[in-house]
Amino acid sequence: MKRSRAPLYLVILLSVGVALPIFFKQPYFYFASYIVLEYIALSVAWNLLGGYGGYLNFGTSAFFGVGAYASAYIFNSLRLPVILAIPAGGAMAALLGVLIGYSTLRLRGVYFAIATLAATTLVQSIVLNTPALGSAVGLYIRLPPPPPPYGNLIELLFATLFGVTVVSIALSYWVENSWIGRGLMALRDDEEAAETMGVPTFRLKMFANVLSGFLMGLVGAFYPLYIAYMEPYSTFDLGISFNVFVMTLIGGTGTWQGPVIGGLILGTIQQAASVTITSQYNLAVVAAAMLLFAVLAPGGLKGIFSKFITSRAE
Amino acid sequence: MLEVQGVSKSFGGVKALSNIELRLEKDERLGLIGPNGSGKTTLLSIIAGTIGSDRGRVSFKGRDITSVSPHKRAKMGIGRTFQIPRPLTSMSVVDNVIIPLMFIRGLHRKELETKSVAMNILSQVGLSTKAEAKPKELTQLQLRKMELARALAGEPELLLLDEVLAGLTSGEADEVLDLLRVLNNDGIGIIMVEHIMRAVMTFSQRIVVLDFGVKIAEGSPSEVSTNPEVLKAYIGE
Repeated sequence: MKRSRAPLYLVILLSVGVALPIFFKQPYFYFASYIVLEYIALSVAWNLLGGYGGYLNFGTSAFFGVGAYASAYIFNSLRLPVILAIPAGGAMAALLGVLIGYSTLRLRGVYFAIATLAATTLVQSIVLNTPALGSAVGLYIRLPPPPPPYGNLIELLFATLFGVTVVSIALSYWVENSWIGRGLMALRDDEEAAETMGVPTFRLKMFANVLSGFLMGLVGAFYPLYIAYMEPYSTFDLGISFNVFVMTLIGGTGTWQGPVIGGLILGTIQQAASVTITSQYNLAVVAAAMLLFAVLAPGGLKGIFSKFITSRAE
Repeated sequence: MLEVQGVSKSFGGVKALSNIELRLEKDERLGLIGPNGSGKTTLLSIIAGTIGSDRGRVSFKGRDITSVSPHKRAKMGIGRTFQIPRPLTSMSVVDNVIIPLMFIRGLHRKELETKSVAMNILSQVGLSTKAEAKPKELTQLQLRKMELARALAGEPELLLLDEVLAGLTSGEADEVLDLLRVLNNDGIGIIMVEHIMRAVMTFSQRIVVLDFGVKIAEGSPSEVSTNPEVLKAYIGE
């Protein structure tokens, strides 16, 4: 993709996504695609720190869940407009990113990964013990009527999440091709060497972590409207974190295309499997794909694809 | 330009450096020698900031930099090479050199211009034919040249060289030494850790000898090479 044409493609893609539900009516398509879009956006967000910087986040569902509960509380209990609640969900997740980042990103190695895993359980138990957030009983969401030209809420949700996903991809493309991406890749390769070459490693890691957390929270902020009833076990499900991790790995880490490919393909297979086989085997599909790729194609789909391109070129 | 005062460092029970004093004037060439494990690399890392000292202070250009982070020290003008080359393995050789150009000299915007600056530096160290190669395709010698190129890219005022000549033939070593003399004439101060005695003795104006983390001698190359303490450290009694 040429840099000069990128904004044009972006606008075209956005208009297609926003206009699609107005002309094409098929509720199941939107219910299923919403989940696929969710996974694409979460994987793209995960890749910002995990792919470029090499710091693994096993707490995607913590960021997602904080965004979901923050937005639900704001529009459901405080009765403030949804349009305020959505960015607030992103902001709360970004704050979680700041807290985890400050305490662990100064250290190298696995501390960050462990902290993200612990954060999931911690945030979940806070929600479980907070009556205002519905504790273990959960929250019933008062769904707003959809504004025209959308006929029902799912169409609107699809269109807005589509927009968020495209913007996340654009952000990731920008990070990858800017000095921020270069710096993250440098510290992923060798943090000490990167520091001696002037790379402000801690600041870059924090930036990537907070941006990644914000996007995850933003995706989560739409979730209450989609699901209509929320409870802490499925919202903070480690399966979400696992899926996102595997989708990015299988798509190919460290490139903006990888998580898009991985999220799209695995997310679609998962949705198809839950209809045609049974919804219980969702995670099994992803786990099997993970095993297959770990053995056969450690570079992921992106790796296979670029190998194919180079062998054709030679 | 550089002043190290009373620096000590222990790793667990091992005292790596005890109460080290070191000064370097602008455009001076200092050789830092000593047997294996005497603390030379630790001292370089403390000056570069990648290892913190337990006691003592480091100042550079009149400013106390003891608690300044390594990337800020790099921006202030301290460049270093590593004893075992530490390439950024996912990037090409020229991209390795572009990193310090971007982050130390702030050349992020004009991509083509930055690349041509990087190519100039690579040809300065004789590595321009390998610009697009990945580090894993390079020989040990070429990796060392890349280390040097990366350090030079930051336009340092103080260059810390950790065995930059190791593994080079004497012809190649002379080539690198010639380059270092040119840089030194342009006003760059150099601290060279080196095991090749012929090179370090002819290159340095002053030598500091470490043994078990203690400075045991300091002086001109001829003074140091006849110092009985130094002979004892190297050869034994």
